[in-house]
Amino acid sequence: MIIASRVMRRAALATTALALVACNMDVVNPGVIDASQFNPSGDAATLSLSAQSNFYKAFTGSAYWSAFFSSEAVPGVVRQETNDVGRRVATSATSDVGNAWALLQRSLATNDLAAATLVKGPSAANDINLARAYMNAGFSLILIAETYCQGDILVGPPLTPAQMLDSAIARFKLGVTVGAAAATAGAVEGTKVASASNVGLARASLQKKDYAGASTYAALVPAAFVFNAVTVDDASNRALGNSTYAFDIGSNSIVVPDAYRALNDPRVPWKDALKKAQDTGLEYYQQLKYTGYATPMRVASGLEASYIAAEAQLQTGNSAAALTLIATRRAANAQPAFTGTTPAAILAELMDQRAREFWMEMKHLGDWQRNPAATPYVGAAGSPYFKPVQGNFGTATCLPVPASEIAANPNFPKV
Amino acid sequence: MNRTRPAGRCVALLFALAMMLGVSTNAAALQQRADSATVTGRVTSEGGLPIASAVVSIPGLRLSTQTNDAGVYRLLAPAAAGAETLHVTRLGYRPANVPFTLSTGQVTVNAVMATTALSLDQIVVTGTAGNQEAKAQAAVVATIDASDIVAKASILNINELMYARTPGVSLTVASGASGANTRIDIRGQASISLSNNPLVFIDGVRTVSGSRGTPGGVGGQTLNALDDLNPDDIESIEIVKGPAAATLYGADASAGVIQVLTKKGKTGVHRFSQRLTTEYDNIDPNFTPSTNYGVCNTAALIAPASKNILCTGKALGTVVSDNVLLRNSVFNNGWAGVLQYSAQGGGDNFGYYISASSNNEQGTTAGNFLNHRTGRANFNWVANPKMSVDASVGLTRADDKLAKGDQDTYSYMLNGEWGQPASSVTAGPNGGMIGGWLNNNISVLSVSAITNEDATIHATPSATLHYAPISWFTNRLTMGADYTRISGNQTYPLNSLGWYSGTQNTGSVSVQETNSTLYTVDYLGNITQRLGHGGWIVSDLSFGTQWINSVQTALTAVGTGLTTNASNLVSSGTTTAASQSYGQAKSLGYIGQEQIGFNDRLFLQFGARVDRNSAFGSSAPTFFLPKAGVTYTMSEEPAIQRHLPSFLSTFRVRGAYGTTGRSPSATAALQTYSKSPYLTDAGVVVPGVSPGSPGNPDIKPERGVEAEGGFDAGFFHDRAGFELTYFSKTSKDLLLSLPIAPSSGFSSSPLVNIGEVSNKGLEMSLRATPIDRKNFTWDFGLTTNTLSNRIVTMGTVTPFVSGNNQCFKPGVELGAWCVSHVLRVDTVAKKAFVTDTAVAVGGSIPHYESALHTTMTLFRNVRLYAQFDGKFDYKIYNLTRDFRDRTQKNSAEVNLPVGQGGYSLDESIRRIGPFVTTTAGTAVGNSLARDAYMVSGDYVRFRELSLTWTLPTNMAQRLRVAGSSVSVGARNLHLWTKFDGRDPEVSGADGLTNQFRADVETLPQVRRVFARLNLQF
Repeated sequence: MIIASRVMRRAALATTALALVACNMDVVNPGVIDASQFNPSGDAATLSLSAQSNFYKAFTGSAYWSAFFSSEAVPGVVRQETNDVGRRVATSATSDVGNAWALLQRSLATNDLAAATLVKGPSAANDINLARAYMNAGFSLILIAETYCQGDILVGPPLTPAQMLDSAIARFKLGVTVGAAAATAGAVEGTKVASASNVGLARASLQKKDYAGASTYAALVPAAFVFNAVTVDDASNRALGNSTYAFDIGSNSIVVPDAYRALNDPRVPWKDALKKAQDTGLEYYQQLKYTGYATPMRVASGLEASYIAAEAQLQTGNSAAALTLIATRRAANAQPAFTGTTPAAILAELMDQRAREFWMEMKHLGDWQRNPAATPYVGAAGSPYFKPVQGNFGTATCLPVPASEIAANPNFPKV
Repeated sequence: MNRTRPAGRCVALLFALAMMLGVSTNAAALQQRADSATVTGRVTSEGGLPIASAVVSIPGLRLSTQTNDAGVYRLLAPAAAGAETLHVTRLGYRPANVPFTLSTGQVTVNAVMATTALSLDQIVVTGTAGNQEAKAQAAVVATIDASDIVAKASILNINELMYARTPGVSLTVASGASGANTRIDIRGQASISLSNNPLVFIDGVRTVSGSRGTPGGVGGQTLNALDDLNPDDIESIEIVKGPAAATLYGADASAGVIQVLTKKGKTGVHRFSQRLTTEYDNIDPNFTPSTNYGVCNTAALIAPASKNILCTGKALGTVVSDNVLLRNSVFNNGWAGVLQYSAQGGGDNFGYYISASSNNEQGTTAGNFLNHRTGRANFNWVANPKMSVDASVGLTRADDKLAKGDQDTYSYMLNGEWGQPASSVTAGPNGGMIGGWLNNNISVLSVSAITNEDATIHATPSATLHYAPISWFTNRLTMGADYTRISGNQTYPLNSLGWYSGTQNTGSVSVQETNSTLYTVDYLGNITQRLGHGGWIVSDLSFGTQWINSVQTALTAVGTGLTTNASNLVSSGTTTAASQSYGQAKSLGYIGQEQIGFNDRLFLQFGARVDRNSAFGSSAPTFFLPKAGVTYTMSEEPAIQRHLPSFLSTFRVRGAYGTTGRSPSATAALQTYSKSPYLTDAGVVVPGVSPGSPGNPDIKPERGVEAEGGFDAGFFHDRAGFELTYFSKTSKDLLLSLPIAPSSGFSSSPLVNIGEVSNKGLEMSLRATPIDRKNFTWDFGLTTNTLSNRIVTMGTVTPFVSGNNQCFKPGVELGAWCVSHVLRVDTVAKKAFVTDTAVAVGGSIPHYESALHTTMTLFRNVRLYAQFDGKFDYKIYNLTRDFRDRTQKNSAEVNLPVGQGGYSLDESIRRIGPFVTTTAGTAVGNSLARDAYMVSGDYVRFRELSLTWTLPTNMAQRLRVAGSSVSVGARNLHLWTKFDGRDPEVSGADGLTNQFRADVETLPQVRRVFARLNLQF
């Protein structure tokens, strides 16, 4: 009995030691997509389509930041950092400065990375995935150039807005070429990509004051063309919904300013929600342009192309197109006829119509930078902010590059 | 699914081994009791005070028991007549040995114990390879006498048990809500990216600790996993403060280790003692909500037809006020009711401890309620003289409800204190007032209708086998598990009144099923050899291994758009969504240590642990953790003793060096893609991916390297004791989240080992019993510590300021507040000039902490106990005041004239601005200009006061009880502070960064008054 007991104990101890050794260190973590399990080349189309959705997210998620900065909308939130953006006194260290930047840069990077993979493919010349990636990268570049005082590409050195626009133009040209070839090869989306890229080319050219180029590219866009950021009302995928709507509806965060409410224009839809905004100081005048997660947001259109063409021609001394467009748009929106005759008055009216037409579509800030005197409804530097307790509007005309980029990008000079 | 098989296989196998070992015991070796003797008596102090919870044993017969509150013990022994020795130990007293002669019948043996302020004879089980006396332990392992504290103070959870008891162990409560999380920092914080929570073990088995979230969140508030423990089940708590002592716990113990030792049964007592405790606490909110002010500044507000009744008919410019929280009686007295039962006993070769408790606590707001029921069964069995087994299981069922708090959209505090009385208070029925909240649609009804519930089942089974095949070779095998299953639910009811925003208003249900499993297998062998003439050299060679497997899963589902509130399952929602997470980590360590003792007073210790962890990168080598230490009780050295002054009774010097680590998350090494579904033009969602983290294949754990040294001195026969320890801890290879430029396209940052943080400080402890007379005893303890923390290097990571105005840069304290500092105020130009860039204006970590606790005992049976504690030299962001002053503009200070409490012009500009940079005169936003709201948090708090009356033995006998005591007292009686908010202790938002200390409309700590009855049978 005693011997048996000893044998049992020794066997137990030996087996214990073996058991501990046998407890291997392998673990599984199925919640992680290990890069080693993914084939970037074989799955490039997926990368391209996900990158396109990154652009949609960036566009709908940046629009309200651009709107706050350009006084298209008032931050109804209590958050100080958001109000500092609206007041145009935010610095690189103001964390909210980085929100739109992060979205737009992720869109740019993922579309550029997808393009870099796809361009090596056998059907690169007419690959619709490649054309789409060029187009989305181009729009991302334009939006960065119009929103921020500087930009960069894939952790590169700082670029001026003009350089960013040049980069956008390069991508849009490729988007037009490959998109058209894809259409010829049977990809229905190819025509849309080519047209949208032409609007992008026209917009970038206009922002660079290349009026001839702007007119030329704008003329290539069909009048009825519309390219929307597609969104969806899917509780499981809220990031794919309209982020401007989501931001507003969550906490009564976007307030329509007095100047826009006073327009009484169907292109600037709003309602008095009969309650306070989140900050309780402002009445919650709710925007009704984006009324659901699935409401699409217009990125580019034939209408925009006609505005670009009209402005480009006006800037070169030909006001006919501008006057025609103004007359058409005023009539369509129950406004009396325009009576101005001087170039300045016509430009101001054209900018006014643009402000209404593309309200909260991320164009007003570019308009103001391009035509600061003629662009209406932007809070003047030194005038009281919408919430007087906060102080006056600052002098900034673009958002500073956020500290998150400056600190982590070795090519950015550190102050 | 094969993912649980390795763990399951190991545990099943090892438990099977335990069974084999148990089965193999020699039943014939069990002693059989024949005629018996009863050894009974009373253990008292020199002053005659009964000493409760003293361990009384007769080593020669392997019998032991504990004294009750009256100091009385009883042992049933085999009646083999002969000389025996009664050995009595108790924390805070010198061990007592009383020789006596054992004979049949009843033998009375009383013991008198001398108080000692030093406990060098105390056995320490944590941070050592095998149990050893404290005097052999070179690094500090603090011991909290849990049973003593629970007996005299109102302790409702383990965190209160540890609060301000030990220098260098800092606890911070998230808020005054019942059940709110408590953060534990041991010797400061050192990690930026990883948790600073210490590891927690219960009887050698790793357990979950730290915060426990609720689905959907309640505004920065979480529950605390350690609250699952019943404080009454705890015998003592050992705290290993840093790497010098924590080396044996491996690559995850850099933040320290807490070992909870539960009460055990006693073998040989042949008796069954029971304890019944009931306690009632009254919980006072301990604050008055702030009154909101506003100005009737428009004609519409004062017009006769105005709905804003505070302004109707008033003159323009009239300041009106309202206290919506007070008006609606949002905060009321809460209560707690505790009922605890425990039984302890044993037979010839076994002992047991069982307990059950029920704790109900109603917080000070509706929707804050805790219902905890716990049970514990500890069983120890001496199979034969060579082998014993301890088995235990702890069970907790916790049903916790937390109300929305802090910065949550539906928080009572935020909505109540950010309201605008001039424009939002309207007439209610019967001439009353309604409104006044931040959100127009908020009311007590709407907030209290939101439910946040967690139902937790927490089980901690464990078994420890002690086996000594020969006298000099001992083995200990511990196996255990920690299972936690939490069912969380948050519901926003469907309503037609627009109570909530967006889809929440259509009715929303969030449920979360969380499962956490931790397996521990720990083996330790020890070979002791006596060498030299007379065995004056003792060699202790220890070796062992520790394996821990952790698996966490969570399944979350949300349903929105309910048809009726009665049908409120997730599947009742019009739209539903679900998500799931799974994480696993394993660690395996091998331990070796040699300790050499000379004459039982000089000890040298060398050891090491090597670790592997599933989270280490594929390129990372095995983690090697060395340790060394020396301790010398000089006062026991005859050659030195004669030179020591007579008042110096004990003097020991000690020094230790050790390393340990802090592991990254299980997948930190991997390059990943993140889920990035895309939309087709037709609006169809299709699975897709985008770059996630670039990963880091070279990742390894943070390495904590610590050296500590100090001395322990006992004066006047150890009536007074003083301990001083200096420590210097450097956290190397600090894991920093390498900021990735957004333009890289990656969505998350990899962790890299490049930082270094230094923590240095002094810890002092003074304990004394100045008076120990028959009818009056007074003892006190004073503890204090300093802490200096700074970032040494951040490698290639550029210094940065977080979104919470906290900066991380070399030379500056971890998470120091960095804001635009006000340099001067120009009352003529009405501007505040600030620094051109954000600068550090103070740290958020207290640099000094101190506590004083004292006990006076009158007439042997009446005990008065008090504790004061404080933290000093740190700053808190008073976000509550910031937002009331500058965003809501509804504070008294910004609305009232100077003479009535308003700010002076200078102060107003300093706080409200406008702010411009000094050099360029550029406008600075309020989000950076928060200098005036970073305020000192220095405080001293009258923490505990209690009066306990212990029933005299003769009265107890007349009442046919073994002992009884009645206690009354209070907790959080008074606060002295420089802080201009409500409570400088609360951290406000424990979901944010580790170092964040802010008052974010945070509930202050409550005041509790309690009464407790304790009966022993």
